[in-house]
Amino acid sequence: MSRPGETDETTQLKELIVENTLAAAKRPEEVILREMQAAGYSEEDIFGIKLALEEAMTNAVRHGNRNDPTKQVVVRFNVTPRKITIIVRDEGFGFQPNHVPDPTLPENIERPSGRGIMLMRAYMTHVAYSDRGNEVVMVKVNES
Amino acid sequence: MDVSGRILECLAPLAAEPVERIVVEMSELEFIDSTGLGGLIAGYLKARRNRRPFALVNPRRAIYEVLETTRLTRLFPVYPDVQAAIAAPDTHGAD
Repeated sequence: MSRPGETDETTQLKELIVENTLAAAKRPEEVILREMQAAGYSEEDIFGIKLALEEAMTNAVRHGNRNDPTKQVVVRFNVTPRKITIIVRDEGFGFQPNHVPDPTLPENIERPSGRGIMLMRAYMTHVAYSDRGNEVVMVKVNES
Repeated sequence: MDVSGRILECLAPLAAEPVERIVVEMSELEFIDSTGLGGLIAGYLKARRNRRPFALVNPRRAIYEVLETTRLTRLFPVYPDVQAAIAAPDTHGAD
Protein backbone atom coordinates (compact mmCIF):
# COMPACT_ATOMS: atom_id res chain seq x y z
CA MET A 1 0.00 0.00 0.00
CA SER A 2 1.38 3.39 -0.89
CA ARG A 3 1.88 6.10 1.71
CA PRO A 4 0.34 9.59 1.47
CA GLY A 5 1.81 11.53 -1.41
CA GLU A 6 4.05 8.67 -2.51
CA THR A 7 4.67 8.61 -6.24
CA ASP A 8 7.12 7.06 -8.63
CA GLU A 9 9.42 9.98 -7.81
CA THR A 10 9.98 8.60 -4.31
CA THR A 11 12.55 6.29 -5.87
CA GLN A 12 14.57 9.39 -6.82
CA LEU A 13 14.49 10.98 -3.39
CA LYS A 14 17.70 12.12 -1.79
CA GLU A 15 18.01 11.51 1.93
CA LEU A 16 19.50 13.60 4.71
CA ILE A 17 19.59 12.43 8.31
CA VAL A 18 20.15 15.20 10.84
CA GLU A 19 20.58 15.25 14.57
CA ASN A 20 17.66 16.50 16.60
CA THR A 21 18.57 20.15 17.06
CA LEU A 22 17.13 23.27 15.46
CA ALA A 23 20.63 24.22 14.30
CA ALA A 24 21.14 20.89 12.50
CA ALA A 25 17.62 21.15 11.11
CA LYS A 26 18.82 24.09 8.96
CA ARG A 27 21.04 21.85 6.85
CA PRO A 28 18.30 20.27 4.69
CA GLU A 29 16.87 23.75 4.13
CA GLU A 30 20.19 25.03 2.81
CA VAL A 31 20.52 22.09 0.41
CA ILE A 32 16.93 22.23 -0.83
CA LEU A 33 16.88 26.01 -1.33
CA ARG A 34 20.16 25.79 -3.25
CA GLU A 35 18.63 23.19 -5.56
CA MET A 36 15.53 25.37 -5.99
CA GLN A 37 17.66 28.32 -7.05
CA ALA A 38 19.51 26.13 -9.54
CA ALA A 39 16.17 24.86 -10.89
CA GLY A 40 14.98 28.43 -11.50
CA TYR A 41 12.29 28.80 -8.84
CA SER A 42 11.09 32.30 -7.99
CA GLU A 43 11.98 34.12 -4.78
CA GLU A 44 8.32 33.81 -3.80
CA ASP A 45 8.41 30.01 -4.13
CA ILE A 46 11.71 29.83 -2.25
CA PHE A 47 10.18 31.86 0.61
CA GLY A 48 7.22 29.47 0.76
CA ILE A 49 9.37 26.32 0.79
CA LYS A 50 11.68 27.81 3.43
CA LEU A 51 8.66 28.61 5.59
CA ALA A 52 6.95 25.22 5.18
CA LEU A 53 10.18 23.30 5.73
CA GLU A 54 11.13 25.31 8.83
CA GLU A 55 7.69 24.60 10.28
CA ALA A 56 7.98 20.88 9.52
CA MET A 57 11.52 20.67 10.97
CA THR A 58 10.58 22.63 14.08
CA ASN A 59 7.59 20.34 14.64
CA ALA A 60 9.80 17.26 14.18
CA VAL A 61 12.53 18.46 16.56
CA ARG A 62 10.38 20.03 19.26
CA HIS A 63 7.09 18.16 19.20
CA GLY A 64 7.90 14.85 17.49
CA ASN A 65 11.28 14.11 19.02
CA ARG A 66 10.63 16.33 22.06
CA ASN A 67 14.09 17.93 21.83
CA ASP A 68 15.69 14.55 22.57
CA PRO A 69 19.31 14.84 21.35
CA THR A 70 19.60 11.07 20.90
CA LYS A 71 16.94 11.12 18.19
CA GLN A 72 17.17 12.06 14.53
CA VAL A 73 15.08 13.64 11.80
CA VAL A 74 15.06 12.06 8.35
CA VAL A 75 14.45 14.33 5.36
CA ARG A 76 13.91 12.92 1.89
CA PHE A 77 13.46 15.27 -1.02
CA ASN A 78 13.40 15.71 -4.75
CA VAL A 79 13.64 19.04 -6.57
CA THR A 80 12.78 19.27 -10.25
CA PRO A 81 11.80 22.34 -12.28
CA ARG A 82 8.23 20.97 -12.25
CA LYS A 83 7.76 20.20 -8.57
CA ILE A 84 9.33 19.72 -5.18
CA THR A 85 8.66 16.80 -2.89
CA ILE A 86 9.82 16.87 0.73
CA ILE A 87 9.20 14.17 3.33
CA VAL A 88 10.10 14.83 6.98
CA ARG A 89 10.01 11.99 9.50
CA ASP A 90 10.73 12.07 13.23
CA GLU A 91 11.00 9.29 15.78
CA GLY A 92 8.11 10.49 17.93
CA PHE A 93 4.77 8.93 18.72
CA GLY A 94 3.04 11.10 16.16
CA PHE A 95 -0.10 13.17 16.48
CA GLN A 96 -3.45 13.79 14.85
CA PRO A 97 -3.14 16.95 12.74
CA ASN A 98 -6.92 17.28 12.54
CA HIS A 99 -7.01 17.76 16.30
CA VAL A 100 -4.92 20.94 16.10
CA PRO A 101 -7.25 23.94 16.69
CA ASP A 102 -7.78 26.37 13.81
CA PRO A 103 -5.50 29.31 14.72
CA THR A 104 -7.54 31.74 12.62
CA LEU A 105 -10.69 31.41 14.73
CA PRO A 106 -11.40 34.45 16.93
CA GLU A 107 -10.99 32.37 20.11
CA ASN A 108 -7.51 31.23 19.01
CA ILE A 109 -6.18 34.32 17.24
CA GLU A 110 -4.24 35.52 20.30
CA ARG A 111 -2.58 32.16 20.98
CA PRO A 112 1.16 32.55 20.34
CA SER A 113 1.54 29.00 18.95
CA GLY A 114 -0.29 26.57 16.68
CA ARG A 115 0.20 28.15 13.24
CA GLY A 116 2.88 25.86 11.79
CA ILE A 117 0.64 23.28 10.12
CA MET A 118 -1.63 25.96 8.76
CA LEU A 119 1.32 27.74 7.16
CA MET A 120 2.61 24.49 5.65
CA ARG A 121 -0.79 23.89 4.09
CA ALA A 122 -1.03 27.48 2.86
CA TYR A 123 2.35 27.52 1.12
CA MET A 124 2.48 23.98 -0.28
CA THR A 125 0.31 22.46 -3.00
CA HIS A 126 -0.21 19.25 -1.03
CA VAL A 127 0.43 18.26 2.60
CA ALA A 128 -0.34 14.83 4.03
CA TYR A 129 0.56 13.03 7.25
CA SER A 130 1.17 9.35 7.77
CA ASP A 131 -1.43 7.47 9.79
CA ARG A 132 0.86 7.56 12.81
CA GLY A 133 1.47 11.27 12.35
CA ASN A 134 5.26 11.23 12.60
CA GLU A 135 5.87 11.75 8.86
CA VAL A 136 4.69 14.58 6.67
CA VAL A 137 4.77 14.63 2.88
CA MET A 138 4.82 18.09 1.31
CA VAL A 139 4.57 18.77 -2.42
CA LYS A 140 4.92 22.09 -4.20
CA VAL A 141 4.03 22.26 -7.88
CA ASN A 142 5.82 24.97 -9.84
CA GLU A 143 3.04 27.05 -11.36
CA SER A 144 5.18 29.92 -12.67
CA MET B 1 17.81 39.23 8.50
CA ASP B 2 16.20 36.19 10.16
CA VAL B 3 15.05 37.31 13.60
CA SER B 4 12.06 35.10 14.26
CA GLY B 5 13.36 33.66 17.50
CA ARG B 6 14.54 37.01 18.81
CA ILE B 7 11.40 39.07 18.28
CA LEU B 8 9.90 38.40 21.70
CA GLU B 9 13.31 38.86 23.33
CA CYS B 10 13.31 42.42 21.94
CA LEU B 11 9.64 43.21 22.50
CA ALA B 12 9.10 41.81 25.99
CA PRO B 13 11.18 44.35 27.94
CA LEU B 14 10.00 47.18 25.69
CA ALA B 15 6.36 46.37 26.38
CA ALA B 16 6.90 47.14 30.06
CA GLU B 17 8.75 50.43 29.47
CA PRO B 18 6.95 53.75 30.03
CA VAL B 19 6.64 54.48 26.32
CA GLU B 20 3.61 55.96 24.61
CA ARG B 21 3.26 53.23 21.99
CA ILE B 22 5.21 50.39 20.37
CA VAL B 23 5.81 50.54 16.64
CA VAL B 24 7.63 47.65 14.99
CA GLU B 25 9.33 48.82 11.79
CA MET B 26 9.52 45.67 9.62
CA SER B 27 10.99 46.79 6.32
CA GLU B 28 14.31 44.98 6.93
CA LEU B 29 12.64 41.72 7.97
CA GLU B 30 13.11 39.20 5.16
CA PHE B 31 11.57 36.13 6.78
CA ILE B 32 9.16 35.15 9.53
CA ASP B 33 7.81 31.79 10.67
CA SER B 34 5.26 30.72 13.28
CA THR B 35 7.83 31.21 16.04
CA GLY B 36 8.31 34.81 14.97
CA LEU B 37 4.55 35.32 14.73
CA GLY B 38 4.28 33.93 18.25
CA GLY B 39 6.87 36.47 19.37
CA LEU B 40 4.86 39.31 17.83
CA ILE B 41 1.67 38.07 19.49
CA ALA B 42 3.34 37.71 22.88
CA GLY B 43 4.80 41.22 22.52
CA TYR B 44 1.40 42.57 21.52
CA LEU B 45 -0.29 40.93 24.51
CA LYS B 46 2.31 42.30 26.91
CA ALA B 47 1.89 45.77 25.40
CA ARG B 48 -1.89 45.52 25.72
CA ARG B 49 -1.63 44.47 29.36
CA ASN B 50 0.44 47.63 29.90
CA ARG B 51 -2.04 49.65 27.83
CA ARG B 52 0.48 50.47 25.15
CA PRO B 53 -0.75 50.67 21.53
CA PHE B 54 1.10 48.22 19.32
CA ALA B 55 1.51 48.51 15.55
CA LEU B 56 3.48 47.03 12.68
CA VAL B 57 4.95 49.23 9.97
CA ASN B 58 5.92 48.61 6.37
CA PRO B 59 6.34 44.82 6.18
CA ARG B 60 7.61 43.42 2.88
CA ARG B 61 4.96 41.83 0.68
CA ALA B 62 5.96 38.25 1.61
CA ILE B 63 5.80 39.06 5.32
CA TYR B 64 2.44 40.81 4.94
CA GLU B 65 1.11 37.74 3.12
CA VAL B 66 2.08 35.57 6.10
CA LEU B 67 0.24 37.99 8.41
CA GLU B 68 -2.80 37.90 6.13
CA THR B 69 -2.74 34.11 5.71
CA THR B 70 -2.77 33.67 9.48
CA ARG B 71 -5.45 36.41 9.84
CA LEU B 72 -3.11 38.32 12.14
CA THR B 73 -3.87 41.51 10.23
CA ARG B 74 -7.09 41.39 12.27
CA LEU B 75 -5.06 41.52 15.46
CA PHE B 76 -2.25 43.90 14.52
CA PRO B 77 -2.79 47.27 12.91
CA VAL B 78 -0.38 47.56 9.98
CA TYR B 79 0.68 50.99 8.67
CA PRO B 80 2.69 52.03 5.64
CA ASP B 81 5.11 54.18 7.64
CA VAL B 82 6.05 55.19 11.17
CA GLN B 83 4.36 58.60 10.89
CA ALA B 84 1.03 56.98 10.07
CA ALA B 85 1.40 54.57 13.00
CA ILE B 86 2.20 57.41 15.39
CA ALA B 87 -0.69 59.53 14.11
CA ALA B 88 -3.18 56.66 14.42
CA PRO B 89 -5.78 56.88 17.19
CA ASP B 90 -5.16 54.72 20.26
CA THR B 91 -7.64 51.94 19.60
CA HIS B 92 -5.48 48.91 20.30
CA GLY B 93 -3.94 49.71 23.64
CA ALA B 94 -6.88 48.84 25.85
CA ASP B 95 -8.39 45.45 26.67
